[in-house]
Amino acid sequence: MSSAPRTELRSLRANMLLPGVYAWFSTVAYPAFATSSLLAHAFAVLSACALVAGAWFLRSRPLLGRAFGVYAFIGFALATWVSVGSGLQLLGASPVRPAVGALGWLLFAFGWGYLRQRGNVPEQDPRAIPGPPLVPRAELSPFTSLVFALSLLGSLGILALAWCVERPAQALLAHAVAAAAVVWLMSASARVSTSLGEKKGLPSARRRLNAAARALSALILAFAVGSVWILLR
Amino acid sequence: MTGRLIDVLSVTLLLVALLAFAGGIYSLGAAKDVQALYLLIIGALALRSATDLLRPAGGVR
Repeated sequence: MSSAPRTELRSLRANMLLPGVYAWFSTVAYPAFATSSLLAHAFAVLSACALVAGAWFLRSRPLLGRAFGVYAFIGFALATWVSVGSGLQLLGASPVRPAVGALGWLLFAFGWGYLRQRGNVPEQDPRAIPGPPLVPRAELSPFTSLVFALSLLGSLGILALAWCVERPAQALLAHAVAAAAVVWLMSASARVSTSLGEKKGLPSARRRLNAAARALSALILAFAVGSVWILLR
Repeated sequence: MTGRLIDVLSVTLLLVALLAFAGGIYSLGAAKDVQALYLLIIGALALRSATDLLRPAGGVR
């Protein structure tokens, strides 16, 4: 192996290992080794081993590397937290530690992502099929970016609002609901914004309204119930 | 023209869903659990309506 690919592989491994080790130390090892549970110790060590194995198999067997580095690592981390039990409250002792841990897991997720290398032209890939450039089938509406940007900003706002919930059980629920809502919102906003002004592929206005009739009726009913509720209060 | 109105309705429903979800999470923080549940249901229904308006011709999902 020449020095350039070796350096690239080292950099790739470091990108995956370092955030993972950081997340492991701050949220897995800390509560696990603060308790006397042998099971928690074992799961924490297995979690670290899975992370290292994931980085090791990354290039030679990518699927196995991902299975170890992502699924086994996270699975053993979850098993550690479950076996630690009430000792997990150590993580919530100060607001800084959970924030640091969340940052570690965020970096871990980014570490497993891929970016196009600098100077790399996709069309020069030997597997690329040569041919004339593909022309878009439709032009996007000028409002597409605006609608998508509004949805993106609103979604960030929803995620931020979840941090304002102080009651512990409801806070967890708020984060789960916010994450699910944001995923759904972004997916729907991508569809809605790109379909603006689209004439082909969509049926007539009457058929579109009919397709949404049940959901719209339920929405109107919910608004009516809400209005009655406000009046009765 | 009518198609354009349906597009406007779809975007409006998307924004209603966004505001309802935000209101739901905010209400959860303000310990108004029933209001939070109501707003989250409104958000889900509005979002479902917004995407149902975009079903492609002949496609049933």
